[in-house]
Amino acid sequence: MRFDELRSDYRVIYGIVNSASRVLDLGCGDGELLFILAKDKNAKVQGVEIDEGSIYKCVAKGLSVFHSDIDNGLRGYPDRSFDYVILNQSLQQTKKVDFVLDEAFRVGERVIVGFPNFAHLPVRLGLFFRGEAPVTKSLPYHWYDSPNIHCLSIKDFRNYCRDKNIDVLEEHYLAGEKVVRFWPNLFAANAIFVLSRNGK
Amino acid sequence: MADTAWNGGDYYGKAKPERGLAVARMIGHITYMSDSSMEDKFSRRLKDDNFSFTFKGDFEVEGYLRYRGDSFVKRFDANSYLYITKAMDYFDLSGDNILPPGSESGVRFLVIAFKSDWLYPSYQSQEIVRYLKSKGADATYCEVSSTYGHDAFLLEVEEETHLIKHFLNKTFYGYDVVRSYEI
Repeated sequence: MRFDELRSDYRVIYGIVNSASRVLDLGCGDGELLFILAKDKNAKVQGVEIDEGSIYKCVAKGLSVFHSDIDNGLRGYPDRSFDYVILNQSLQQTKKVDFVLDEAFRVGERVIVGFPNFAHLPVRLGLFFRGEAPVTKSLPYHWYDSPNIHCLSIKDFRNYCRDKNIDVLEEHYLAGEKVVRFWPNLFAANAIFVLSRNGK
Repeated sequence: MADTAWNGGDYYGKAKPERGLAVARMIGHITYMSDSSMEDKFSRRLKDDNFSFTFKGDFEVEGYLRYRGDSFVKRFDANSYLYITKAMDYFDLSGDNILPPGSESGVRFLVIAFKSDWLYPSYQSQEIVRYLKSKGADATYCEVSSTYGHDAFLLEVEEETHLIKHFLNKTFYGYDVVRSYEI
């Protein structure tokens, strides 16, 4: 597989993570991202994933993974044992967001959070004009089968970081394959934040 | 041991403690199955059409367990069973036992649990993995969703083969030979 065929959010995270880092991916799915980080960047990677089928795919790639949900998956990891903890498209699916982020900052120096932007223009239009819970590319679920427990916008997440004394080191915005530069809260379908919390 | 024929372990050349060993195996066999596998296999089915109103085994599950107990004594020695049971009682993976200090580096662990196994419950396997992780060891954990109870380890061959094969491949050859990798 070629790099430019990789999912755009994976390409962004790939660019963020330094070579030979220790990486923990919470909600690592089939392990695609961890695999290229391990192979190309010589990262020391581990994953946590709830889906059994995904665990088999991760193991087939040679990855070390822990079959668990994220809310319970971090107990046992020593403090500061990772350079990066990745929560890509998974934070909005966890029950205890505060707790999961606290734990992520406990075990990792930096936390990379990727989430779908619920204030994305097509989402707003769907809700406003059609009066229906939006189903879009980045939010492909119906209200009855969505794993997303929390609905947040880019602005919401910035406010959250401010309130929780979390430093935002980088922000990346995507709409499909494209990078978004202006008015991300309106035009970005996905956001990826790099966070640290040294002041705790 | 409650079987008088056991005779403190000295029964060779005499009557064997068959009843005691058979009962032990019958109790053991229940722990190898799960609630749902018991229900599927036996439920409340009767061997004959009606209750006998005697103490003979009316239910299929009774006949099955007795058959298991009786056939076990033909191929297993009571003292061996006791020694193995004792050895398992003494076996303890908790604390530093699984990973003696100084042995952390370079060892990879694969821990497989089965959802319906109440003899070796998955939460205990998770504790092993959490302990390994707390020591910085490289551990992989998978909980296979099987309804076969403890017996699953003999039956879920495909899943186990997949996990163990790829785990060993990575251990011996690293990421580069993950040939079957496709996206």
